[in-house]
Amino acid sequence: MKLGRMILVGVIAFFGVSIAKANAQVVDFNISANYSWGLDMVHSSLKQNENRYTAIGWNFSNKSSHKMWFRVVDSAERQIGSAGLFNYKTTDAIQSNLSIGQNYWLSARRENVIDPVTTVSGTWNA
Amino acid sequence: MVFNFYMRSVSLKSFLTRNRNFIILYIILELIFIFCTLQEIEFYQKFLSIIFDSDLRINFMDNYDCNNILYLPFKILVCDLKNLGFDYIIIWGTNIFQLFIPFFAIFSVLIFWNRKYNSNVKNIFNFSLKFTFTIFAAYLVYYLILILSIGNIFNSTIRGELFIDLVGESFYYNHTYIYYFFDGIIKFFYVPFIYIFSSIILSRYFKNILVFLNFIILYYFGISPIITILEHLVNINFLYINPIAIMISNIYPKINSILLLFSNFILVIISLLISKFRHKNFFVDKASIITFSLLILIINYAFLGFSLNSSKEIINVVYHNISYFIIYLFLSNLLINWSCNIKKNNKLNNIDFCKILFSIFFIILFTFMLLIVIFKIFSYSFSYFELFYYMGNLYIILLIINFMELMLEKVFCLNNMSFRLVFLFFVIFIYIFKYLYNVDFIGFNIFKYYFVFDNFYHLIFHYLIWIVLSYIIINILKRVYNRGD
Repeated sequence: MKLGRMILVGVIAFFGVSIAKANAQVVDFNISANYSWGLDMVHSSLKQNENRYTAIGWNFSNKSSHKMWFRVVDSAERQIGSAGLFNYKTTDAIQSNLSIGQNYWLSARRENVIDPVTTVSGTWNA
Repeated sequence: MVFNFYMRSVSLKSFLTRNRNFIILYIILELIFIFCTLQEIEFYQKFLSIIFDSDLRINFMDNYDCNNILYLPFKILVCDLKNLGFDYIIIWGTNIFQLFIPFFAIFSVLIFWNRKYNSNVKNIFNFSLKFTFTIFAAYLVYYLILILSIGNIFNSTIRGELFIDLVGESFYYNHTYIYYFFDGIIKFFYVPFIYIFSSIILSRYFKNILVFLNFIILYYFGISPIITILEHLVNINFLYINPIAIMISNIYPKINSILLLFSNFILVIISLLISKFRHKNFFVDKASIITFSLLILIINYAFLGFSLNSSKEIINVVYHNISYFIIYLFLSNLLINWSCNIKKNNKLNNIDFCKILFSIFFIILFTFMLLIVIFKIFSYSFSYFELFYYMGNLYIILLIINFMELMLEKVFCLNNMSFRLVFLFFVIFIYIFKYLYNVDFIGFNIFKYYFVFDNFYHLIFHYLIWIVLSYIIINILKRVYNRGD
């Protein structure tokens, strides 16, 4: 189980990053996240290939050393694929079956209920 | 046989009566966990769509591969839970619990003093253990339900952080179920025990239960936002002195588990030291609590100077916060006078108990809103509209609760305390979820379009109207209640 899960994470990260680079749909995001999902103002629409993984690298926050939750949503704010818990200043990937010609938004959230709004920014390879 | 059966039924009844507060607490917690889980998978919206939207219904039947409409909600529930995974659901299903810690602390203090227990440390320890076991039982049942319904499906991006420095990185991936069992022991047993045990000991040194309430809420809800702002400005990690960090330890990488557990245990050590070296003539009065609150406000304004550019903005912000603080003090004074002092009357009747609970509920909401209003300003997402919307709702809810309580007592002749407790919890439950998830319940949006102000005089008018109205209505109700007693 340990080996299987580690391989799965590795494969998702590798393919996520490589496929996203091939498609080159790189978008800068800046999200004000709260306990409920905060939505980014930018969106991404795939023009060439369908994308099974989306890679998120976040490198700025008004808080230090913590993890944030990310997910991709469609125009009706429905979650596409799974949500991911990503570390500060790293690039990770989550499974999100994106199709050509559709608009998708990146959404972020944190586990802390009471703190001031957390601002996160980085790049989204969709 | 009949006699034995009769004896058993009596003992069960007496058990239920003696432990009714714990049983209500258990049921409410279990319902909250289940409600949060359903909210997380957006079950309510999907369920309504199945009933009212024929296109979406057909779409769901195709997507979830279900031909029978009667089984469709169940199929959606199971599929969505399995899609998100056991660890994702258990984190977000129970995460709301971090809000309730100070409330449980106050609730335990009320029950303890109302039961006339002997207030030695051993009794307080036993009572705290019983209270905390109730909370942990709710988690344990929820944990087992999730294991049975979701099974061996996990989110690939989650990696637990607590104890990982002691047991190794592979422990989480190899024994995820066991990890969440120990995680539950810390979040739902260790932390509540610390707050409940210390609260009961410390409450002896406060003049009034409501003054103590102010202290525990400011301690728990006030320190974390200040630490966040300090971390941003000074770039030092204050993680281990943050009271809420242990409840969300999952998001801090490379955490020192022993240090985190010990830093929270300091509250117990302080309360034991106070009880050992100080006598009952030492107590914290209201003046010191007000000073403590003002200090928090002053710290905010000190940091506001760095983040806001124009002096006009700062004046505006200061004006708003001071206004809210004055209203807060005014109403809390009114409620402190209204509710009776536990120290003077050792035994409370049901109506007094409910009044105190109601006052506590109101002040919890008000303090929570006050902190939200203050700390929201730092995020630059401050809007007048939102501000008045929350405030208006708060007053309206206060009036609704008063009115409903009066109706329950006078019209329907319901003096049953458990019923009232359930009602109060229900209102708290609705309000918290309304705020967190923007769920629009019927009747809460009526005043949304009323609070639109564009100048200073309108603002003053707004405050005056609501202060006068709430004062009149609370006094009328108070007279009616007193006559009823």
